[in-house]
Amino acid sequence: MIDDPELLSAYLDGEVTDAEAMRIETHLSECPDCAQELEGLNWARSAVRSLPLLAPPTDVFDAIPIPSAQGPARGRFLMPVAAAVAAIVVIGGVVSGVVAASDAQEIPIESVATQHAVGSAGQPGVLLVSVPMDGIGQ
Amino acid sequence: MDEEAADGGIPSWEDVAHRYGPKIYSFAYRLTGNPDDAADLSQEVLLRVRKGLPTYKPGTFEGWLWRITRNAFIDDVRRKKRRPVVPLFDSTPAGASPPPDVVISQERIDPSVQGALLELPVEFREAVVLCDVVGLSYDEIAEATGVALGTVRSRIHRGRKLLRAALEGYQP
Repeated sequence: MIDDPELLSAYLDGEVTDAEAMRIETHLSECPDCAQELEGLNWARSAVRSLPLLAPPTDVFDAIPIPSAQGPARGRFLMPVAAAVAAIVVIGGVVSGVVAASDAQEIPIESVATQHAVGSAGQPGVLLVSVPMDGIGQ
Repeated sequence: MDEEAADGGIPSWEDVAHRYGPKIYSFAYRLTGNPDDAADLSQEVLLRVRKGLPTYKPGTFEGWLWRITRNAFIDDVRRKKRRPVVPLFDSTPAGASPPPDVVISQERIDPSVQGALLELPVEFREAVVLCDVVGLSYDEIAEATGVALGTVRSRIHRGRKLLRAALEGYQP
């Protein structure tokens, strides 16, 4: 086994120096145990990385009032963000099948109509969980 | 990296909520395993961000943001003094393991991965989630959690080893 096994995870994450990477690669070519260990670590890493990004419920945004410096009265809510979320809910109902396919029973958020994310849907590498909405987009 | 933050500017609170909301919520959910707790934690983070933005000094915005997020989580853990609950949506029967010749779909393994995350010690879970869910570098994780780089590396490695052991039946 390699003298510092923690280097294997760091190697997977690109968090080693060039010299360390060379030493690890040389060792891996000669040590089946470490090669197997690296494979297992990479599998665990990939399992977590493949978890979908989750959309926050819209009331997370709605419940936070705009600071008084930006609005005339306390209790005024974040309408631009709420409006954006509402718009995406509508759009999301149509495109949810494209954005992400997910079995409804595995959606961890209870409020189906409020699960569409705000601005990350178009970002590379972002997978948003969307829930089939009864009567919408089905 | 946030474009505005990369330019050294200060994003508006609305921008933060808009751009980072899903990541903050995902971070919270993966750490707590409970949608209500995740929503509460996300809201607390956004409140802290709003409160802190006026005094934020342009620099590493993501480091600042995730330090706030992580501190909110730790405060929540200390306040409640409880282990995170098992996720409600985990439909995998206890002790069930797939036959070796069955290809495991992502839909089936997701709840198990979430459940395994919740079994990790908090420090390991936090490091793994910041690395593999949020996508921070080790330096950024060290900044967010206030520990040394070597400690970050150790926590991620040990967390992954525990995850692998917990999910052994699913690995091809």
